[in-house]
Amino acid sequence: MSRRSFEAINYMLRPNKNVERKLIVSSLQHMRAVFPIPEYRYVGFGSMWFPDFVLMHKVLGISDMVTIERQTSRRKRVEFNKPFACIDVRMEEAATALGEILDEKPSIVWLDYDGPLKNATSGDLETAVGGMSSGSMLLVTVNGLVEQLKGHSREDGEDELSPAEYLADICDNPELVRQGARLTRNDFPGLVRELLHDRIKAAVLSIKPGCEYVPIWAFRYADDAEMVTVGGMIANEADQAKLAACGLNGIGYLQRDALFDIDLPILTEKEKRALDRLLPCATNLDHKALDFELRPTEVEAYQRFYLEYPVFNEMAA
Amino acid sequence: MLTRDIDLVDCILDLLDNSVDGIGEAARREGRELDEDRPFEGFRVKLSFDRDQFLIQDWSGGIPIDVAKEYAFRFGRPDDAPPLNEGTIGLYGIGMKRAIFKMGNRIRMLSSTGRESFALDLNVDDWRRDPQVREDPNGQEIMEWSFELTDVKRDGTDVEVGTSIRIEELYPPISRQFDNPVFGDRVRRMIARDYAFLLSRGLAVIVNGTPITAMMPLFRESQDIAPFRHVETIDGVRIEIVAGLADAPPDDTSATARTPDSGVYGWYVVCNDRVVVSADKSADTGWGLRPVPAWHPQFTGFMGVARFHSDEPEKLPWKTTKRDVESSNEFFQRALPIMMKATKRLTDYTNKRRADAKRIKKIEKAAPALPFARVLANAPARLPAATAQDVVTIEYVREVADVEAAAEALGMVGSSPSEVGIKTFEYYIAREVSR
Repeated sequence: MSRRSFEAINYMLRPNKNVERKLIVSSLQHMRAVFPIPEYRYVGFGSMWFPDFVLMHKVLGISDMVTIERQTSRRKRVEFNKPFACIDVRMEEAATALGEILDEKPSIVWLDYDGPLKNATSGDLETAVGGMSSGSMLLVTVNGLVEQLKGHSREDGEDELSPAEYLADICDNPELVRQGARLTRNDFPGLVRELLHDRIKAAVLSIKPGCEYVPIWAFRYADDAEMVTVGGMIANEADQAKLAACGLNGIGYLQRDALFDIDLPILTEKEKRALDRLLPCATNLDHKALDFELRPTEVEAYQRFYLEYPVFNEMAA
Repeated sequence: MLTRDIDLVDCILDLLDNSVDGIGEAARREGRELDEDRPFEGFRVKLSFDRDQFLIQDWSGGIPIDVAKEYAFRFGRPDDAPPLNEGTIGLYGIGMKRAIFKMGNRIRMLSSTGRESFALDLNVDDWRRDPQVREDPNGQEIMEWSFELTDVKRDGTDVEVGTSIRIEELYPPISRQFDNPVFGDRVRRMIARDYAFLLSRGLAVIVNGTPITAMMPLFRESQDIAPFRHVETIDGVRIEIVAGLADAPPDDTSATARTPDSGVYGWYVVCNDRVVVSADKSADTGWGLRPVPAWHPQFTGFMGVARFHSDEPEKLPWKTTKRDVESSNEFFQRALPIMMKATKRLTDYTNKRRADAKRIKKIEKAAPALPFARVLANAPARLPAATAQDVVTIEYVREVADVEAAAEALGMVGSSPSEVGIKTFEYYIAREVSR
């Protein structure tokens, strides 16, 4: 029996994903001065764990929330696990639910697929954009491993497709066959970033007259599989001006032209505390001065996000 | 308004047509012979567009000043314009103007034949406000609709041979489309398909820095399988017809089955190497006209090309836009029954082969798919014969999660649902059914 991902992984125990979530929420806090974020609707895939919903409600004060769950056989479990009463549960395919949930109310929609890119090219994204009003934000997370393109065959199951052919097929864009050179382990996440940004942009330009797509987020992180998150705002001219006034440009982890890597080391609690005692620190911590071995990049990554780094502890029930 | 209804991609293709026409026209002016097989070898057209501007640049031979003054830049084509010449695919003038006017307010053009050159710098708003009125020979006032050429050099110029048109101050909807990644892909795809025959005869088209590769119609061909071929020349028009399989027809043609790229299959009508109708599945090319059935996904894989070539382009079955077939054209009327007969033979085949699909599919897949090549002799279609077998198709719908779980249990993660279905059936037969 295969295990669905929510049965296999405790969503709480992913330090990099955890930090990504906090960075997104933190950038939304910056916007709160200009956009009425607490009035927004949050739509996500809460699974059984709802970590994003908890932050959106506790930190940002959003109380109109919808979780979409397609495993209809787990309806009671989802209802049982939802942490707040203000979360509406929709047991449907995302495509169906998104088409109905989104009316013109400003919303933040996070299509957090814990699967391959193919999930994001099936039309959910366009359905979401179609139902969004100016000021709304869309985030998409997919797997960024190039291996996901291998081993696929045509519909008739006979010819094996090359990774480039498969990518062109799921994106419905034959042009991508030419870009074979970028289908490497290290280049593919960047291509995924571009494909997703372009896809949202194309949807906005095609079906949201008067609005532009303004990219805001582009993260790469890996707890087990390498994942890519991309997102931005659908904004008319007035909202573009408001967004520019939020001061997001100065935030280091919001990059326009590249992926921002969240690559935190897995630390024991004791190690974390030892590092915390040295922080904040104006200069880079010296990895050689530590009582234990860490690579300079790991120390650097930790120093950057020591405030967001989660602590996991066993609790007596 | 002349410019409103034409699609932006068509506009770009209009300009591209002009650039291609320029190659033949320059050769004619200068009495040069173009290569029979690869007449466009060495010629390129560069297109680029973004939020702020559109630019098309060619090295095709330029527009002579007299042509520019008398025909190209007066609105509409005057009755005394010279007759259209051999091999040309364009009707000079109209296409260029409506394309330019649709995109933006500021137009800058530079053209040189090597001996003569001129520039044009036009602000459409200003030009509209200042209609030129003159008197015709009968003393009646008529609108001139002409444009001022500048930097006119008639005898010797150092401007590089060719034409460039730059359009700025784009209209907002145009600007948005140029910025839309999907639009760029669409332009590339349209050129790859509609200019495939020109590209394969040497033309280079570069769009935003990327050279376009021709998407030629393909035909599977081997000892066991080959397309129908027909060729004849009547009254100065050469007609070539090829119909066959580009790919093996699908096994599953139910409504839920995804048939990728069904867009490329169907009939292509080609006039002087310009594809005027592509992947057609309508009555224009005989589909649904007795005895040929209407298009159905079962015919996915069908490919047909009807190619017309003539030194007198007005004889060809194309509409002036070059985007449609003129079905009343006598040469097309002659070709259509031949096309339909070939279509019928292949649609019948997709029915018959189903009884023996597994074996036949192997034969089809083994045959390499070759791009359309000029037809030199008539030949009937060669298709493998089906031997009847007692088979039925089973179809059912199940929850994705269950099918994926079954696939994992069977050790075939990533396989198609139909494979999972087959495996589960075989599993049952092997364990529970006595034989």
